[in-house]
Amino acid sequence: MKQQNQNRRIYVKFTLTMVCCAILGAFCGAFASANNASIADLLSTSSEFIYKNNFAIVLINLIFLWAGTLFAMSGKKHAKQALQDDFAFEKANKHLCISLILSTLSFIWWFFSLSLTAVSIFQGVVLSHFVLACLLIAEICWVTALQSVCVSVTKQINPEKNGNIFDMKFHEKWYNSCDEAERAQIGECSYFSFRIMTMVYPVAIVLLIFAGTVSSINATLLLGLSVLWGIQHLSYQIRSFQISYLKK
Amino acid sequence: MPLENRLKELRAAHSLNQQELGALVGASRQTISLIERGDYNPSITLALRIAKVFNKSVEEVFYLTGEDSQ
Repeated sequence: MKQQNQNRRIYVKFTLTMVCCAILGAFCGAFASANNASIADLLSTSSEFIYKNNFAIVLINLIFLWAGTLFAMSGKKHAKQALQDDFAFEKANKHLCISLILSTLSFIWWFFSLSLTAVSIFQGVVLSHFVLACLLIAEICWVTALQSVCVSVTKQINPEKNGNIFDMKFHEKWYNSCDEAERAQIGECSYFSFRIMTMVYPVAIVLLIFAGTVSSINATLLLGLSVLWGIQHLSYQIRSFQISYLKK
Repeated sequence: MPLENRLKELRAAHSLNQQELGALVGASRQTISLIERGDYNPSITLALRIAKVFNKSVEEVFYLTGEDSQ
């Protein structure tokens, strides 16, 4: 009886969510079509603003890199006592994790900066592009060195860990050197990321549909996004099928 | 977390740090730390290995609390 009530509540909640989404969608669609020109202007203004501030965007990455380096240095400092002192180990591990998060953020920001610079260069090379290119090269070297330091210090405090970030099989080797708790943690984090992306893809497609109401959207962009969504979802489900029925 | 343990207390009694206990039971230091904090429930194999190091039964190291203990 309790289970039946719970199921009924799930269906009601689902239906209400769908109705709310439909109302919101209709409202947004009506708003977009009524303000065609202003939304198109807003998009082009924001795009211009981003391109104009290309230099600042490249420089912002230095903040992530600097912060990441500070945490890595702190992790390295605590790592010296980590083998004897459990408290120092926890501290070193925590700071190295934060440094790795910042280096990942920096790596993604670097790709964004690179794409902006590349588009600007294709539109015509000017002197400032050489400065940008030099900055981008310096940043990618810094990110790589930072990640390398994080991994080597982590290996220092966890001697059982294997893997070199320059090795193409780094993730596989690292995973193989993890024990049961660490693998469970990796699984939990991967599932969390999967759930987030499951929400992000449909939202991104809906946003593209709205963008399509004010200006023409390249069909390959929609196809590309759908393919990425498919790869993410299907790779999860096919792997799950393999583990359940095929892997011996 | 209904599963609790006396890992920290036993480790201190045997003068072992997390690194040394991890090496003895074939687990990482991170795992020992997670078990001690109650953030991870070890597998039966690992629980047996830990109990063996301290020369105790699994129930003497790990125990259930609250409703689940009945």
